Amino acid sequence: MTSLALESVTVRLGQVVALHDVSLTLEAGARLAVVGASGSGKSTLLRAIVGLLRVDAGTISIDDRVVTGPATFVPAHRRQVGYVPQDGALFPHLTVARNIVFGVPDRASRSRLVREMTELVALEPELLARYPHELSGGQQQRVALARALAARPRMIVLDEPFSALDTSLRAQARNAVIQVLEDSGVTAVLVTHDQDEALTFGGAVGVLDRGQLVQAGTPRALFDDPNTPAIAAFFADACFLPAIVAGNVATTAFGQVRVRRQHVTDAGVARIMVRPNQFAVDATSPSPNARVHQVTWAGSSSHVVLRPTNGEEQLTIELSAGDVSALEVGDLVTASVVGTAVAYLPSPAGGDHRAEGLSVVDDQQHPTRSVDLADRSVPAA
Amino acid sequence: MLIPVLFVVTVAAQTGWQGLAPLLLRPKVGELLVNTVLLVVLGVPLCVTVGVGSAWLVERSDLPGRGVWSVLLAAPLAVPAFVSSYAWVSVVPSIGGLGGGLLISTLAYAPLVYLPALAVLRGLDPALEDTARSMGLGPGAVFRRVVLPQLRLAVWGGGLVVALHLLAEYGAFAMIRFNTFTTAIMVQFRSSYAGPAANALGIVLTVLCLIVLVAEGSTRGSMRYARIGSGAARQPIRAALGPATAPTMIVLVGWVAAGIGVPLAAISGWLTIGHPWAQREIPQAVLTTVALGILGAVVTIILAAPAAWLTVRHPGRGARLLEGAGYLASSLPGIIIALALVTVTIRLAPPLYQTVSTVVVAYAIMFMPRAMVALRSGLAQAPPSLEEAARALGLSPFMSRLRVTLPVIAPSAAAGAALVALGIANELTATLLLAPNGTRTLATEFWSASSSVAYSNAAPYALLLILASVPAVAILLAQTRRTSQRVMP
Repeated sequence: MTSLALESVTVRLGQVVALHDVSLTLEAGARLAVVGASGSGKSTLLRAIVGLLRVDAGTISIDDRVVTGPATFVPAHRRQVGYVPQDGALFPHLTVARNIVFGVPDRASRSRLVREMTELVALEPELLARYPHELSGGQQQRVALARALAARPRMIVLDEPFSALDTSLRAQARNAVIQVLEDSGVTAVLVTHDQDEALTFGGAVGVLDRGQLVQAGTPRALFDDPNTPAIAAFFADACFLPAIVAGNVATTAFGQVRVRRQHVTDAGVARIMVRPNQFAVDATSPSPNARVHQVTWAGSSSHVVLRPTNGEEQLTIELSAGDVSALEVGDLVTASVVGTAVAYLPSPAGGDHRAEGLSVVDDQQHPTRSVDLADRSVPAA
Repeated sequence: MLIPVLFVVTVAAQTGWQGLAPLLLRPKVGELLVNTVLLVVLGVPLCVTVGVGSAWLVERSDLPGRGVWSVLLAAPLAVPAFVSSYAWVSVVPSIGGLGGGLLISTLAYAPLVYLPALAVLRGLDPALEDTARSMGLGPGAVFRRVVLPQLRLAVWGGGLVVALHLLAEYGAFAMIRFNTFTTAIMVQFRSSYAGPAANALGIVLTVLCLIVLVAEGSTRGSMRYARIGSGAARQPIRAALGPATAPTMIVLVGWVAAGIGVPLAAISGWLTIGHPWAQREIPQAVLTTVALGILGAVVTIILAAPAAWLTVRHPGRGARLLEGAGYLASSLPGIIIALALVTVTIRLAPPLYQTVSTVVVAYAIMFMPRAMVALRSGLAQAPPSLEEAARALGLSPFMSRLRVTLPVIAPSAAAGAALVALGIANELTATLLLAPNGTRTLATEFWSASSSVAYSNAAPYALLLILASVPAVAILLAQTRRTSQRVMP
């Protein structure tokens, strides 16, 4: 059963197109993390799903019922979509217990629901009589989640719920929320600007860029086969090497690399993306292809800056502590790529996208497009 | 809201310079102008010096008993200026002139600079001062080059409020026979109601107010100071007063004694003479004051709510204009607001002349900023996300506001209403001009008794006015503490 379906949704906020032609489907019980930079349209997407704003085009269906369409708009309070805003938005004048049952009209079931939800989100019972300002950030988020779930929503949406938490608390709160969502079996959409959060939320990940859903799929697919260099660099460090691609083989300054996925239409000049930990270095080779420019110790691994001897731009690779122990700055080495790569059109400026956000993708070289996920719906976890 | 402004503009246009010239170009007007301008030019710097100096002593020096001083230095706010004047006339009957006016107004209004300066100093990041010291600046240079510039907003804002109070004050200066535009307008009004002479003086007074407003606005520029760093602020390093501790304490004791000791002693003295508490009018005055206070507060809060909502939730040019109009109207002296409403009611709606509804409208115009500030602060505590969360939980937009926003802003609205009500309790000029005949409030009864030199009879009203003001001062002090915990100013 489809829990959520968006078809060609477009939202304009004044002169700005906040969402453009976004389509996706989500099966009942599935989890989707939508990730994107600030201003990419993440919160607009959520607010459109919740019913807090109208769309300019397209339809939104929940449980196969159109809630937003050309002639339909079901307001937020009739959609039964649980909403966990960025700051939790706990009602400051109500205790934790009263916050949890705020959206429960049936008074008789309130005390039972408080017990159930408290247990579900692992909240200490002694916190029930407290007010929101007496809770830690993590506790507030759990109460916000409990409040949303207590109203028995058809689905739940979470708007960067962990962004206000300390780094140490974030992973802990995230895992707790994922566990609760798994236990409750409710369909969930999370928006975040944090790549790790998106990748670990489970289910599927969608990437929003300037209002367009540029890629969606499993975390593994997005990590291994990103549609654009920008997406590749967004999820993890990436090295981009100039290459000549023929068939599924790319020839680079560091030797030949098998291409697992091509985003180029014709064979020829291209660039390939590999991860920094895909390199091996041989300091004893008689035909070196790079010079060691810098070595930075980073615990179990080290970052090594290599300057190719053919004059290409330097790149930073990651080597294990053992591999790097014999390297000195100035050493001539032979570097090679281990594993496969993804090929793209060459960058006009010759630079890579490691330091770039998604919104800086060059439209002409890497045109963003709306991905219709109707044929790639996100299954239940 | 703009009735008083329109009134002044209309009167000026209708009368024209030909008509105004003989009324304004008189030696008496020159004397009033000199008195009023000197009062502002000397009174504002005096209040700023006392206010900033005392705030610095409390917040940045090792003055013993700083906690007690922080309250005592704000306490004169609980003594209405005309009550302070009455007390000083009782103790020093010869007091008067510019010197007397400056003494009484500085005692009464210096806390208006002291409180914002205290809030800024409390919220100021000590790291700025530490950094300046690490660059080789001594304590004096640090205060002059780092602390003082950050106090400018508080000083400007406080100075503006003091200046407007000085221009508007009637009772305090009338009591010591020091003539200003406001006292002269009242005299003219009493002799000829809203006659051309009173109106002409009103135009000059309004122009003076506008000059003060424009001067403050143009010199303030786009100043905005805030604690930028994250993490908890540390305690500042306090300057050691050393041998100056004892003289400083003596000066402060003298100042507090002059500000609250003299009024309390004078009132206590008068209360022992005769049987002032036996006056039959006292219960009626209390009841009328309470009734007018509650009614005025409720009306003001209701009128301020839409403007506050717009400025917080839908900020834009329209909201700013609406807010600015409210502040402009309320910055005019009560006497001008009263004159405007007298003229408008007599000419356009005679049945409303000298009715409760007209005096309540005057209160709403005068005290709108108190309600606006409180409501805005309350709405800031209720971000739209709360209503959105409520709507996602099944509540309609109306019910979301009723069950979430209203309870969240209720404490701020109540505090605002209290401040408005207490302002109304102390209001004299508009009440004297606009209230129905026979209306007895604490302020009007006090004024009636003291202006007929029945000082003993005035004492119970003076004491009740002070007691009524104590909660307002407590609210202001609490707000100062809260504000200083947030971003400044």
